[in-house]
Amino acid sequence: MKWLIKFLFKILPTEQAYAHCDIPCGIYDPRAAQVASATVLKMVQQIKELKVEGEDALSKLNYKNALTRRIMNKEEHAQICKRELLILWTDYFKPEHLEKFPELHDTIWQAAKLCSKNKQSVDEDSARELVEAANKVAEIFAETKK
Amino acid sequence: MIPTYKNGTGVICYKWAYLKGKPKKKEIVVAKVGGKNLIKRVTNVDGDKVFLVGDNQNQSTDSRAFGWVNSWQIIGKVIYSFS
Repeated sequence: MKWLIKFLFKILPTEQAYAHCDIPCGIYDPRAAQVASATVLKMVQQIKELKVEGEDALSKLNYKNALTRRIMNKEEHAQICKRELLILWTDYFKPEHLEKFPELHDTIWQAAKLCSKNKQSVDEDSARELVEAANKVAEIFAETKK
Repeated sequence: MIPTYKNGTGVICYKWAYLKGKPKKKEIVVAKVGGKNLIKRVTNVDGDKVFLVGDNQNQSTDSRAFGWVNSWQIIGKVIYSFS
């Protein structure tokens, strides 16, 4: 019987079906959001500390270059942080997690908003709040794994 | 659907299974969700909608994420599997 079915499988057209989730199972990790939020904070600190080294045109140009690179990096990692948080929110967390952690929706919503706020401004307090928010989501994530 | 199915498991899906009746709880079905064929277990039926959950509940993306599935999205019932 089994050989016949296997033979039919080979000769008849078949379709693929997925018994797993939309990406290979289990690749959910809040660390990506945490690292991205820490990068945002570091960039904010570096932007604030950045100085023009000399009075000549080249020094000013190098300052602008260094500043732009840090702003771009801040922008990029705030976006990565937001994306990683939203993946956890929409794909990992389930209704039973929400029952256990009723603050989950608001925590992630506020964290995602902080990502946008950190794009819009150079504000160390907001960056620290983002790091704390990402850590809070990671804490909830860790609790759900127990 | 681990431990029920592993990667590469072949399944036979009976497409006419629900021509007359409706899916029942605990049955394993293939459903078209978001353009993909998904294999999940029926855990609840409400009229023309079914709630599908994967056996590997901690890892599965299923009705708990994408909501109830319309009966017309059900392609058929899994009636045989082999690996």
